[in-house]
Amino acid sequence: MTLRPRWWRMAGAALAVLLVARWLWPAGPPAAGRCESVARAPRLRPDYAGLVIPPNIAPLNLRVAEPGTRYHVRLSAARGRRLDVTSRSGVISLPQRRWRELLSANRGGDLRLEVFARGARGRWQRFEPVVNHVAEQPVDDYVVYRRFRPFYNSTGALLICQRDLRSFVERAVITRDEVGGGCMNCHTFRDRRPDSFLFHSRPKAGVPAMTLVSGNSARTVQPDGPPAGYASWHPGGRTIAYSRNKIMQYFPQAGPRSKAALDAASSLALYDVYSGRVTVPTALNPPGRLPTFPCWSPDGRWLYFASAPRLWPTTRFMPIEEQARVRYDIQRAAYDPATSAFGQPETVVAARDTGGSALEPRISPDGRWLVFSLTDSGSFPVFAERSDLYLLDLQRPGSRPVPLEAESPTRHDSFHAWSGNSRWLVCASKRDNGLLARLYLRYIDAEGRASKPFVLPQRDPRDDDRNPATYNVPEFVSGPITVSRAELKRALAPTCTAPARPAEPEKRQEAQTPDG
Amino acid sequence: MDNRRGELMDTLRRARTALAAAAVRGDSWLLVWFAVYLMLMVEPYLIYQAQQPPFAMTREFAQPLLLGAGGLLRYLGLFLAQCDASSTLGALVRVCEALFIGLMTDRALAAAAGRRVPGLRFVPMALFMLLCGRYDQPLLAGPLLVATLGAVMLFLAGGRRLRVYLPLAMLFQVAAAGAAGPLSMWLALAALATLCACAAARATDRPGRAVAVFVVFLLVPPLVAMAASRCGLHAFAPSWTYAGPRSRFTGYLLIALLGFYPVAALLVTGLAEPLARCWQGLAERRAQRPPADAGRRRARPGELRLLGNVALVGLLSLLATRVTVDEAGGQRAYMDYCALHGQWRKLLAAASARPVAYDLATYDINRALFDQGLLARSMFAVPQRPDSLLLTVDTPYQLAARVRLADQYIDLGRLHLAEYVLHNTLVMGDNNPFLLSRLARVYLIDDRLPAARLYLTMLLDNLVWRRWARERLRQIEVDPSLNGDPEIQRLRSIRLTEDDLLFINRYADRPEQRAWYIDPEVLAGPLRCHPRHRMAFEYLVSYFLLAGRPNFAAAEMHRLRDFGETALPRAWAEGALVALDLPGPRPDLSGLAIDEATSRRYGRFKAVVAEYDNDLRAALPRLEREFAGTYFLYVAHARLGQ
Repeated sequence: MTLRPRWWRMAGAALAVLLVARWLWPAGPPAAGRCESVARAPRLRPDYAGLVIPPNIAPLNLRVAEPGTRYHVRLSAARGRRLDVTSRSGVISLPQRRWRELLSANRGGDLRLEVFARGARGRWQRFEPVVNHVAEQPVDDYVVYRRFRPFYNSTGALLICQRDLRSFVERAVITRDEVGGGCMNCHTFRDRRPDSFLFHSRPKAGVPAMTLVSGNSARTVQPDGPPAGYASWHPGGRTIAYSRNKIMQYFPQAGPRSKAALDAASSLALYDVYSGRVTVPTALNPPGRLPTFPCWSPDGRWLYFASAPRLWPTTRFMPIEEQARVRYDIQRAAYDPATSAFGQPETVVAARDTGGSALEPRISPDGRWLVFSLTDSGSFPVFAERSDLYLLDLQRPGSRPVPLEAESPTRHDSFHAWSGNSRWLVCASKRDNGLLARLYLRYIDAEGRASKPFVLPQRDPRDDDRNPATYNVPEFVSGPITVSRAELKRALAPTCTAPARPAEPEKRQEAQTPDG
Repeated sequence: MDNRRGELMDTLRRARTALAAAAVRGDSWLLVWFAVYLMLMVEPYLIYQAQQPPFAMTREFAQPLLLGAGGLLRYLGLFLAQCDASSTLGALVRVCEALFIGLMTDRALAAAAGRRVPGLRFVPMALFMLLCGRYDQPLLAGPLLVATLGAVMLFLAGGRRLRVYLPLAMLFQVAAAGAAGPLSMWLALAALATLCACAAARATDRPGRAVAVFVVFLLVPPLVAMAASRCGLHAFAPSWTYAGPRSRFTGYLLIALLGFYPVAALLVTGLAEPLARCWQGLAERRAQRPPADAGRRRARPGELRLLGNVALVGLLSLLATRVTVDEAGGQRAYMDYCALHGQWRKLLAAASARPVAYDLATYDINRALFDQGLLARSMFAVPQRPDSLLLTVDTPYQLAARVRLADQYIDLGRLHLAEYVLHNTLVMGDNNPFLLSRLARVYLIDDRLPAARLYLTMLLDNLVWRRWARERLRQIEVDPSLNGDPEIQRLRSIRLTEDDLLFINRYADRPEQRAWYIDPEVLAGPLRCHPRHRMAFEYLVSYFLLAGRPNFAAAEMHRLRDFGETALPRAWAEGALVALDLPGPRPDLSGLAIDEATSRRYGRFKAVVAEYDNDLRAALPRLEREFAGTYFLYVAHARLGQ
């Protein structure tokens, strides 16, 4: 019997389809008994081993950094369907729906990650399994941050973005172009609410302004006095505490740091959202001190801030030499919302005890924990050679701050923020390359023990290895931001076109924003 | 169904036949000539150097491009432009484009005229070839033209089922529309619309239909593109990748190339009938004519064609070499290539073979002279300016200058300044591989391997640089201290060790002062840290000479002894002689010898000036004749404010 040419063609096509399918969907590893065991955990990029992860986090896509021609990852847990992913490049992209199912089925349980790699000689290797724990408590669904290139002047792309932590969706809240090409920073939310926040803008040709968002609308205000810096919104919603800093950027020519910044003068002020009135409480601004980084306690009865003695006369333009000796304390002052009066500041963390400069105090929403960053000196952890996060139990009298991680080597952590349930801490960290910050998430248990931090997962796990952008000021929010970009742009328009005030030399320097 | 497949197969067969015919019938050796011309005369790697088209194999690069109108073509154009990094590949791409342009022009004009118009295809081919000789050529010109003609082909292939193919052709053209600059886009659209309308008018007897086709093809693509940009997909803006100034001549060539089609289509359509009659009449007359030359051997058509082709190629060669090849642009690109790749010897050879004027020429030549050990001797052999030795941080944001500036700081050991410059340029330079490679280099020298790895990994996405980056990454894996890399070790040894806070300290109280960067402190700092830093030393002395401060230069010359020298090189000796004549304390030359001939020359110089009663302006013509290439003449010019 002879086959007709048509049948030959069909058979050939079927064979080709089979071959392509075989190439596209390679087979998984053989049974465990036929694999060569490797007595160590696999190298993973990012390092997603030994973590505590939120039950609502996006898939932890990763790259197996082991030599091989084919890779297989098996994700299993006590409950739910096992998840198998095979790859030729080592890039493991986990299916979102099944990942979500697995996580929600195993809250409070462990996830076991088995990695197989086929070597050049065709033999499969099986590495020691990696175990990650799924926390009971979820992380807030969204995080808002700044993303930009590590530049030194007001050029290039700069965005405030929000990321849905349950997926990989990132959306720009506002971009540099929409604020008149200048700088924008320090977005501050009122109690992690997506419909109530502020940020500062400094348009190139306009005037510095503060944009306040409420629901779907935004308005831009220009508080009296120097431009606003770091801010904190009182839980009551009426008052915003903010710092007014005279920040100078400079560029060391030798040594480990290539850029630095200093705070030549600073003060704390209050802005009344309803009346637009600015007050400068004398209790917070004693002569000869540099208060900055305000942060309200969750009950609104305390204002925490960092403060250091000023070691130079106010006429000094650029006190660089003194910076090595400037060390900040964490202080707090009692606040009466009814009278807007402050008590005398008291020191919570003293520089003489820490031996360093304590900055960026952030109180957990349950009021128990204070986390701050500790550097050797100065007020810029983002540029410091050493910057680590420390935790202090506010409810245990006499307790001492403890580092969230082993002190050495330094982690270059800064700009941390708490989740609504006081269990998750996000921060910007330059630990990967010492140059560009990425966002890291870590779990803090009821006893204040911190788990190993991990970088926010990306759709393509190789992105962080070649992403030229740096991230900072991450803030958790409970939902997507409600205001539109068009509305923000509309609100900012008058400040972008207004003629700039005649700038004094100092102000020109300030326009060079140290961004990290 | 079978019918449709049959038509498709017919179309394919026709295309194959046309290709085969082109290959055999003389176009092939025209294309071979074109390839040779490109490879030997134009050298596409210089086009790559001049334009540095951005491209990365990443989603971040592709997504915004592909989402916009014209994005596909732009992406394709940028991808093809990467081939220019290799002259052979670049030539091959352009030859293929020329081939397609020729074939499709033939078909499109034949459809418009109703009959083949032999030889007309050579016009756009020739124009395209001439355009390829320009280093400021629009890189998307070839792909745009091929896409335009491709849309015509699709329209023609539609035949009766135009409704099926028309949207496809439109889509194709929308892809092209956004990719061009406004003028190019309208010309391309006009070409498309005219060709299609002519073909439609010929296919049917309804002129209304031809007009409709014309309007649709001319207006719909930009409207769609604009609508897309309104939806936030992509800005509808000119997007030629070349950011530098484009010469008028290149613009004319482009207009001629794209404008050829509407004109040719109208001409061949309008003249089709008279032409046909003319041909017919000629043929009839020839048939009636008695065979007067029957005895003679008649030239065969093949030989005539060969003769015509030879003439065409000769004309093209003449035009290409004498008129259109941008020799100055080529030389500039070549010197730029040498400077950015550290090929100083070749740069000097090129500069001496043919003097070329561009902004950075003297800077490059000075750098090359230093590398060859000739700066102190022959720096005044080239016309100098006070600012031609050192680039400064306020150098305009022109990529080539910024990369050189970073290189200058790396060579001086000022790594932090280099990092500053590179990062500031990178935000505008669209991940330019030269910037990325320099950043990686800075971090390798500074022993910050994780940061270096980041930029090397970014370079892996660049088709041209990935091999270099991969080798570097492998080197880091094998030898993290980079002890095996003598160049890195050398640069590490001259790193600035003392923080002189150059940015702030000197002008802290005078922030309005913006002159710190040209301060000799840029050079003096490295010299303080490393007294045997040859570049810092030679540049410092030369800087003072160029700045018209020979006494300062002479005060530094004693350091030559640290380098084992006993005599002053010629240019510096001239500077020292001028310094010795200045009022004030005499500089200490530490016994460094001044050449007798130089001293005599200076004596003669002074005598000549004295002859003119010390009137430099009056003496200048004679000085220029007799003292060309000396510091004396430079000083004379400087004193006259020239």
